[in-house]
Amino acid sequence: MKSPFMTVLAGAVTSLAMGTAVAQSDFPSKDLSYIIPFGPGGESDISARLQQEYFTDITGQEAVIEYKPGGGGAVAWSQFNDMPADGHTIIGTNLPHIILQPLAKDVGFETDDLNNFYFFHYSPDAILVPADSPYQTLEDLVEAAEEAPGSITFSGSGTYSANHVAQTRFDELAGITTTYIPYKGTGAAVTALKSGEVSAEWGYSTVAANHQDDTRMLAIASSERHPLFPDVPTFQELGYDLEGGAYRGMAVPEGTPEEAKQRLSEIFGEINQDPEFVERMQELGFFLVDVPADEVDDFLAERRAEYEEVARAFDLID
Amino acid sequence: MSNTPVNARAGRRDVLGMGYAAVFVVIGGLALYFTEGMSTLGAVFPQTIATALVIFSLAYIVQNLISPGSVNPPSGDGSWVRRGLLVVVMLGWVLSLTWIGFIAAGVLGFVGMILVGNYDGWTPRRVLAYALVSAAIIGGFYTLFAVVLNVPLPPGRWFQGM
Amino acid sequence: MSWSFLLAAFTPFNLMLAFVGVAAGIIIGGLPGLSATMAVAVLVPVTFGMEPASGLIMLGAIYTGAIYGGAYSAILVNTPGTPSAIATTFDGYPMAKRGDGDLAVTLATLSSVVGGLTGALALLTLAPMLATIALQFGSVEYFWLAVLGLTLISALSEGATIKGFIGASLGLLLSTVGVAVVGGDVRYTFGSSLLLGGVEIISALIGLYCIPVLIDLVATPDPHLRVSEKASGFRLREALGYALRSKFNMIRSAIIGTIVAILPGAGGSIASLVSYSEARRSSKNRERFGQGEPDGILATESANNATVGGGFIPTLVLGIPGTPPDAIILGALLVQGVRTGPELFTENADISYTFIYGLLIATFLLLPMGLVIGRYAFKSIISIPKAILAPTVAFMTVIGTYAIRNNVWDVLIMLVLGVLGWFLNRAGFKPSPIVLGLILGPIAEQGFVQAVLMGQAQGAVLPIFFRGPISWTIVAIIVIATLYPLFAMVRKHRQTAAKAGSDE
Repeated sequence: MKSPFMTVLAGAVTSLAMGTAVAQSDFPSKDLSYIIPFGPGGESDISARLQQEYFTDITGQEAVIEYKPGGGGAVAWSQFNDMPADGHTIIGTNLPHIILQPLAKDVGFETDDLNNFYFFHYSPDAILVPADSPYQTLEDLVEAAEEAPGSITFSGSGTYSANHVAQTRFDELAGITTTYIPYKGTGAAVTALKSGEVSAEWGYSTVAANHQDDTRMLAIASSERHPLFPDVPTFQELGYDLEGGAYRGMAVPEGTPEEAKQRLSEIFGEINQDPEFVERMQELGFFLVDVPADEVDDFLAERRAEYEEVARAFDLID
Repeated sequence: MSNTPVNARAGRRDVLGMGYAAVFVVIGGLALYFTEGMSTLGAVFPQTIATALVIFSLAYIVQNLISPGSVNPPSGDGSWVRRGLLVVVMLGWVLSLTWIGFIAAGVLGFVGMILVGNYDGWTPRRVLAYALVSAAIIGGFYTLFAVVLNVPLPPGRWFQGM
Repeated sequence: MSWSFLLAAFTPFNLMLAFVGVAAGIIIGGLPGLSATMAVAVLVPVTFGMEPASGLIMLGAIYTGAIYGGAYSAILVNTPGTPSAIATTFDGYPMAKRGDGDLAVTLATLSSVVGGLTGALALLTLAPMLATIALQFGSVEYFWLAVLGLTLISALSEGATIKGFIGASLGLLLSTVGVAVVGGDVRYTFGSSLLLGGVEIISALIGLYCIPVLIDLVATPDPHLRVSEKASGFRLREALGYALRSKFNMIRSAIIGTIVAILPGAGGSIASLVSYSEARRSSKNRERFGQGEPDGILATESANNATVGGGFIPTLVLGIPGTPPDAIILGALLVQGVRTGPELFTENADISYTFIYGLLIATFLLLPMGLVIGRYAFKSIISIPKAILAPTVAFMTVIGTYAIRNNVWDVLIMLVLGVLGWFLNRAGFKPSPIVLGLILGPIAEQGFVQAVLMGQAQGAVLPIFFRGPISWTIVAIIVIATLYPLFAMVRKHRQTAAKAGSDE
């Protein structure tokens, strides 16, 4: 077995001798460890699994998915910079998690510790109601909330999560008060919705896609309507400036060579252009975005400003 | 055990159990103390449980003081040295995982455990047989986990050259 | 349903998948730390190249095998191979200790087949109807269900009830360590990022059950298990005798397993614990439970294998995973472009029914394969010298715990809990109540907090805890379960008093 050290050394020698262009085509020279900081079966897992086969098509190497769950992702993120930094280890990163978690408490990592190189999609926030709900439009729901402040209950996945952020921001935008009830994961949140325990759910378009039969999406927080739901208006169309959701990207450990990072950004950018990949992602309700390595900093700064405002509303920061 | 006659209850006090109960009262108290910084919702459950722990532990102590039950003293047979050594070997094994890597730690731990667990005399034949079997078991598990199941076993920081 | 789906399940390729899946599952389940969840997760990518039905058959076969295989380490080393096998240790290990390990394995095989078939048949015939059960249970009901689970402690703590409750409190307290799902607090980590992820249940299981066995294993030169001289082979006839006598117990446990599995978030460990306590409650030999009573194994193994078929019911009908492995299988289906829901049973009937028949075939395969592999496992455990058995078991605990979350600190937590567990066990604090607290803690807490939030939204908190027939029923059972031991004690006391009176 070749030791990682030798591989790095060999890689370094090659790139020195033959210049970056050749090194790029040599990279990746072995299978990629793709760490998912959650358990299997969630959206982070599913979207990574969809990337897998296109990664092999492009590079000839496998992207091997490894789960390292715990602490809502914090366990894996806080230990990630100890991983081998030769470009063959990457980790899935999620917004708002990697911004809100360090803001809220000491989780063993800072947002800037994560060396993100690409953000490839997001699950737009969405309001879902059961198919037999009396609320036909978003206005119905807002009116009900105005009549009896706090009585409208929303299920959602976790506290300080994308769902929670969306609920807080929308309450502010619409000037209403609703009750957010956190559940363990999207599955539990949608179960609560279907059983009628809550009035509505702050979920994602992906949840609506998987549960089309017995739920109805009232509005979606994407920039334009989703191809899968041409009849569902965006929040912006309805006059609420709400756009966002759970963004997913990838990071490399601190100290990874810049060329490797750029090459990874290119590879995953290429996957994002594959028409078949695009179709399969849309089919599941995702919304693709392209934030390559050079644009990641600006993108994160924008998001951070947004989330800090919400964090103030949560009383997480002053 | 199960057929202890009911009237044999006037047995000895469970001093060991009472000692632990006293420790749990302290743990429960500390757990209550540390709920201070938590949000109201986050604190409700730990507070309830910590209180329950304190109450149950006190109840156990009081019950034993009033009417001692029949308690089987723990059997102390067997070698304490070996028990202690086993814990030491395993602790060393676990703590060295990140540093010397999975295989080296596994081999050392395995050999250590053989030494702790062996009651037979050492003959060349036995040494050879155990060495072969250990190699097969470690190799087999390593293959199963690292190769078949793709588990990223720790390679060991000292051997990564950084 | 037509026979064509049965024939489709019977293609040589599908049979091969079922065979390989069951074998791999049994081995994975038999190794502590390698759970059904992980086995399924690892093999998901393999299924992407297959037809959806074939992929499902393989995953279902692995799942079935793994849940069954968990019984081996439970019986032979007192360590549940999967969380579903916790309750199997109660009577399985005492049986193995006294020389009936082979019989225990055969009993586990028979009841696993019965349970597995019950669950799969429920999936085949009643799925759409039963799936609605999943939607009857909300936060309040889960809260009460967890409380009901805690009342099992008096049954599990073998007379030392207060010690049982102390242990359960410790387990519940441990379950709060780390980042809280509901509320987002970081609790009891003392500033260390190592504890952020909390105490992982399977690592705690391995530590609390397996490490004490290891510690006592090396202390004496006596063999790990006694070998019975009276019988050899599978002891199938003897086991069949027990099973036939306890057919009601097995069927009842299978039904409990099926229904509990339909409730998302409950799972095999709770199913087998509930069926165990029911078996004990209704048995004439109550006092023999925990001392190596065959009925205990029959109940738990029947119940946990029933959760396989039962868990698929909400997964396929509602798209809500019943158990953790189901969550992964659901993800795999989504990646393959198969959408769950009622149409899976109509438009995509070829997938669902072929799969269900495949699951039935895999369950039948469990009988011969389980007997053979189980025999082999039993023989290896009793013939390996102690000097090799101890390091092998230790090696499995280390690698198994690490592999759950690929985290070295989980291994340390496992070891520390194990050593503490050994000391506690000596003082009469058993591991089972601690584990029960650890499993039920999050369910109870989340249900409670959600219910309180919902009550606040409605303006009244207390009424919501008694909001419907299901919560009333569970509360009633809790009251009975709490009072019954008291009642039994009083009755026993009277009887002995009367007996003493008549003796004079």
